[in-house]
Amino acid sequence: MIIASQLCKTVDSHEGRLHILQDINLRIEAGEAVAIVGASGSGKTTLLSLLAGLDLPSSGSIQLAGEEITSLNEDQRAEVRARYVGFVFQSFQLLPSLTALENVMLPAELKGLEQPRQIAEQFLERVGLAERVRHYPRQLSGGEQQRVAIARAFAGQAPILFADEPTGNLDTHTGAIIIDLLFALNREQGTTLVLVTHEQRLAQRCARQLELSAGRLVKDSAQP
Amino acid sequence: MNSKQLALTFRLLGRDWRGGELGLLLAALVVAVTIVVAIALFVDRIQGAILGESNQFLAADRLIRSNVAIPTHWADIAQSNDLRHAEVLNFPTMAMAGDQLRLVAVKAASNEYPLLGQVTFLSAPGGRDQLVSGGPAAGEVWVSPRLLPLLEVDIGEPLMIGEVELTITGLVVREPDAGFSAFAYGPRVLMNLDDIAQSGVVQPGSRVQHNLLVSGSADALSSWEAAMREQLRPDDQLMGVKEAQPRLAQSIDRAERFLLLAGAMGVVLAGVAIAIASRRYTERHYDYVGVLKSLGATSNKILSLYLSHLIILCFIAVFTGSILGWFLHWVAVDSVRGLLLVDLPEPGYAALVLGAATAGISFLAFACPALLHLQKVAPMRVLRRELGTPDFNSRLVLWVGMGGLLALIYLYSSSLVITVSLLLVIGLLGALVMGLTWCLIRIAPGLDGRAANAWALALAAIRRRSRHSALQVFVFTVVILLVLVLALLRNALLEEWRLQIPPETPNHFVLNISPYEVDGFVDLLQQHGYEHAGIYPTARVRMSAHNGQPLRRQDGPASQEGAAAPSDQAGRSINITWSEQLPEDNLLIDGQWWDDAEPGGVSLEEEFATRYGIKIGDRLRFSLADASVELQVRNIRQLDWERMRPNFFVIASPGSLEAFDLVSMTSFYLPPGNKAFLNTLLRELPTVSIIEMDRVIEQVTRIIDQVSMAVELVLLLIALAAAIVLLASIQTSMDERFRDNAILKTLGARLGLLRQAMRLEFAFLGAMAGLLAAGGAELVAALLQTRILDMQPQFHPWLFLVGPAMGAVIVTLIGLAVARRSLSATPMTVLRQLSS
Ligand SMILES: Nc1ncnc2c1ncn2[C@@H]1O[C@H](COP(=O)(O)OP(=O)(O)OP(=O)(O)O)[C@@H](O)[C@H]1O
Ligand SMILES: [Mg+2]
Repeated sequence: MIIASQLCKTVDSHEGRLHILQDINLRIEAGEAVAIVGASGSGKTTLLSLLAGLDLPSSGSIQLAGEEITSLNEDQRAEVRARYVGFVFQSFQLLPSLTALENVMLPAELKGLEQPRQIAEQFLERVGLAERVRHYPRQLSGGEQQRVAIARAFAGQAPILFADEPTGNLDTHTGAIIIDLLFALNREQGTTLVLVTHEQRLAQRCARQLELSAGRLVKDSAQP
Repeated sequence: MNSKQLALTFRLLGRDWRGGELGLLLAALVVAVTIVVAIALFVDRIQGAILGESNQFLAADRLIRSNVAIPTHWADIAQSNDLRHAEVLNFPTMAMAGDQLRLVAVKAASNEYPLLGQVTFLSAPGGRDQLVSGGPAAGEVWVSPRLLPLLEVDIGEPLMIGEVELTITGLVVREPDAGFSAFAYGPRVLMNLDDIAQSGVVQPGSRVQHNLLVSGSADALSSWEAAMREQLRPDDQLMGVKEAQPRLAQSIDRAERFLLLAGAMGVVLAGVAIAIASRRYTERHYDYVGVLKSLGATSNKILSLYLSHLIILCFIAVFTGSILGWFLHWVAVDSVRGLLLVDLPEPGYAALVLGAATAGISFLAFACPALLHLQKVAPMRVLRRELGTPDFNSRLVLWVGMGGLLALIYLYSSSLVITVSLLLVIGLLGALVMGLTWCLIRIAPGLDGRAANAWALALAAIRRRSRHSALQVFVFTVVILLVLVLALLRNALLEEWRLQIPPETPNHFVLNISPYEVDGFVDLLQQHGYEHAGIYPTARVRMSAHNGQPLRRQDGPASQEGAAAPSDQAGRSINITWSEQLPEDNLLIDGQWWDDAEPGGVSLEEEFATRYGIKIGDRLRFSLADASVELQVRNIRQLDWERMRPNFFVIASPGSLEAFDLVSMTSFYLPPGNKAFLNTLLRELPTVSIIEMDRVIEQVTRIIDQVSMAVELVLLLIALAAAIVLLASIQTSMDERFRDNAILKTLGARLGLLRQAMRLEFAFLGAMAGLLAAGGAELVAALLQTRILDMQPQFHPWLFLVGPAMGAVIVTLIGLAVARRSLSATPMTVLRQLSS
């Protein structure tokens, strides 16, 4: 499903060239659940953004669902994303002027799916927010907002789901609920899950863990 | 775009509406269209009305004036060009009733007279004024009320004009073209042209002024004019209001230009408002687009989505703006209606087209660049905010915006000078503001040490939002500048108009006072409490030789001099006077004024001298009948033609005119309602002539009042627009203010301190803008005055005090009004809103 080879990411800053990611090779199969772990600043978010086609590597190549996304332009990558990718962001990224329901409807609407409202309502119900559909993000707590974000990610019915610290802002209890939800949906829909976390409990529930350190892939539980 | 996408577009637009930015953008667009439509409609109609009223000066749109009879086929030319026409004769003659005889000024008019305006008519002395659209019928005559006691006649009694006996059927108080044709010696008699033949007063060689009056559409007039140009004989004059009343025409012209300028500035303000609103809209939508892109929306999709949003917005704005503008112009028109004597012309639809064009151009120039920018937001934004913000190609945006402004101003003013000078100054100011703000931010020493100090907080806020602060100062500057420029121009115009006809301007001229009558005349005036404006001994002479070279008759100067001088085409002669002193308001520009009585010198007016190629030291011979005198040119003067007072092209030194029989002329102010004094005057001094200018002055004053009112109203509209732009601009800094204040409050800052800091921040920005605007306004006003309005520029040192003070006060007031919410919100609500 996802194949990355010889991935490097460097940025030029005032202090000279910064190697954020170096020489990353990995392969993720369809339906897999993968956790990316590592210290803060080790390059987890950067790797996720490359795999999802949100950004381009400095060198190396990425195949996403058979498409060589490193050779696509931004608009073509957008189409790939529209077809295959869903996101849960560390900072939720709900649109403040839209209600919870409208936020969740957005991906389905953009894809032109039939009955976006029903789909959205269904997923909001799954995350336990059936009563809060008309509320705006600012009227919801952090955990509730995160659940809306997850509902939105699934409402696009994408085969791959990327999640950056999906429980980072949540207490243990709520975090657990959300994790359950993620994996339940992963099971039911056969979704590929790629998530960044530094929470041991969440990482453990994934069949496979990748560990980053200073921009290098130092451990892959699938290849001990 | 299929129906599904269209539905999505509308759905997203509806949701977008709740964000608030769309409302601001729409408001800016609506304001733009409203201002343009309102001002265009208002200017259009007022212009029409003022022009209509000023045309009444001629009682026609154009007239041909001649000393010889108008060829009969000229009437056919008028007719074939779809023009209405009338014929009018003016001549002095003796009117007789019983055994009483009086010199009167006859106007004999055909039945179509007046083509424009109405005659004010009284059926009996002491009756009520009536407006009628014609003169007396054949066999009848209307006379000036003061002629009745002079001739000891009454309404209904006969009056002899030459050989014809006419019945006095009414009194004429005022003809529409009174101001133009009343340069006549004696009370008015209005009769029908059909009685002229029988009267026998008009003979070849008699002093008659023949007029052909025409009226019709602008197109018809211009084709008629083209046709007539070939027919005109050397002595014929074709005149519109511009030629007939040059001073008034100039006032109206300036007012028109002022209104156009104001309109152009309104357009600039509207453009600024739209640019600000689009910018804010765009900034607020970065996140939105980032999310849409991460969800797989392509740039094209985003572009078409936002474009269609904006197009819908434009349509709404054009529609609402047109209605609002229409309404506003009605309110404005209604308030000046009372001043206007003529009916307002129907509003034109051109204004609406202009409004729509404004929305279109503003949209393309100010909103589109921001939008195109929006589609470039990278999806990475959802992960790393700072990465997703595309570089704003501000130079491109600047050029496109400037181009848009140029198109708009030009569309509005059709004047390259206005367009270029406005743009230049705005560009200059922009650079200046950016530079200054940069200095302030880089160089101003840090006061950060004492954070609890309101000043320090204010300065820190300005620096933190340095780019934004600079932009805001720029916008404030432009807005204040435009209002100041308009206010300066308004003051200059009104002041000039006021000077033109100050209260108690001499409104009656007395000519032909014999030397032995002068003392009696002065006593008589004094007895009745009137004051004369200087007695000038004059002679009507011919300039017969220049440096010994005889001049042919037609080489002599046309008589144009003196506000009160009869525009007498019969004698190409000039009024000469002598004076010991340089008259008040005359400016010596070359040579020396004579110190004491030394006969033989003469002083010339500048243009007069240039026209005839006369230089200092030249000898000029002046003749009257058998007498003549040769004088040497000693100096050249400039006259102030703007004032209503006797002015002389030629002034001789004392003792130079002994050879001629001199008669004196003077002018004095006669309050309205004291007309009977003229009869007293004529009884005591039967040989003097009186020229009544009061009607002209009254008419000019009224037109100037209307024009001033229009100017004031437009200024008010512009000020309103300016306030809206300021509001929009301050609104854009609200998000940051909300957050800053919330954070400062959580850090323990007292509300009073924050409020004080905000007040200082606004006052500082406002004062800075006011100072820059004052400098800019001086520059623009001077430019426009010299280039467009044909006026002398002035320097206003007080502006540099008033500008900053005004800027500080207004910006602080509007700022606090808008920003109050950011102070009162509890930190928690703010932080909650911002985190999502
Ligand atoms: N565009 C960039 N410019 C400069 N430095 C960057 C850029 N992007 C990432 N970095 C740096 O690269 C490193 C990795 O960043 P990244 O966000 O991937 O870390 P992370 O593993 O997600 O950390 P965290 O667990 O704190 O979220 C950091 O030191 C970050 O500062
Ligand atoms: Mg991260």
